[in-house]
Amino acid sequence: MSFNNSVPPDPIESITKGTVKAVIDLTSEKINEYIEKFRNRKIAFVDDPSIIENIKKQREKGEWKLFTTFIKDPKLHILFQTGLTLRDFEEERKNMKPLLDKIYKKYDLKGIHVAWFAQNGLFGKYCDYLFESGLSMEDISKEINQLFKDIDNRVFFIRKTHGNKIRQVVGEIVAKIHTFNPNLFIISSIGGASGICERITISVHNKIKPLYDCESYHKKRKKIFFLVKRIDYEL
Amino acid sequence: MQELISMNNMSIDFKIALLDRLGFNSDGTFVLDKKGKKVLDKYTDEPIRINNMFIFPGSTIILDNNPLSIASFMEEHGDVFQ
Repeated sequence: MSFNNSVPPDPIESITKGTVKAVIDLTSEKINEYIEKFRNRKIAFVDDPSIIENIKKQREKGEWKLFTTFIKDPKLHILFQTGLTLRDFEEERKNMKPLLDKIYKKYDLKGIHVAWFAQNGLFGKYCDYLFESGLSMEDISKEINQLFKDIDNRVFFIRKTHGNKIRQVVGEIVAKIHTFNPNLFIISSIGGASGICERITISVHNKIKPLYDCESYHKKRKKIFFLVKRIDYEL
Repeated sequence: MQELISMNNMSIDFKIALLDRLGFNSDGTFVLDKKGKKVLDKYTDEPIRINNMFIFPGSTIILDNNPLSIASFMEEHGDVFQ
């Protein structure tokens, strides 16, 4: 009588090992498949595809196409697109700070202002104003490019924190208007500061009334004021 | 036009193995080069987290997947996705 002294394999251990090997093989096989496609430039990888989808969506908007008709600077394109994304973030009540921090770090306060300009929908209103003024396309293009070049002196964004220093902000805006003498100065609220924005604009307008008219627009929770220089017809 | 493969459901180990095949490395949090130095996003100069990557073929561009970097990438390369 003979005995087989070899230990019979533990069926559970065997199954487990088999499963692990199968997973490793599958993983390795999948990586090989991905790498081949990647090297042939057929695929790209992304953790959250919704960000790319959002940017693609912004690039389809008429607002974006109109912007790129007049503005050719790639940096302004990037900031404007990012501003349109901020608008979506605001509507969806997503945290905007990480994106604003990145914009500030790369493009400073001027970059934030360009992004806010897009976020607040100011571009459409600004174009309406220019179209109504009867300028030629060439002059409209010059005006738009000049505004973005000089945005810090021609547009002021009112935040909630400005509520603590209204007199100082009014003085700052009036000084900008007197110094740069623009045909149009825009004041816009950001982040639910519409009440403060209105108070500041009224004070500013009271100080420059003989020189500028004030037009106001309401957009959702935002207020936008255009201070438009009066044309002096006196001879 | 590239098809986008979502890495949402890929395990960290799978991502590290993928990065390794592409000539990169990771400490489990950040994307590293082969010398162990953190790879920086070319548009924001910030380190790239392994749980928030965008990897594009060609010369293998790895970016932090945020709207500023993606908008910058699309400004440079156009809409190259399906």
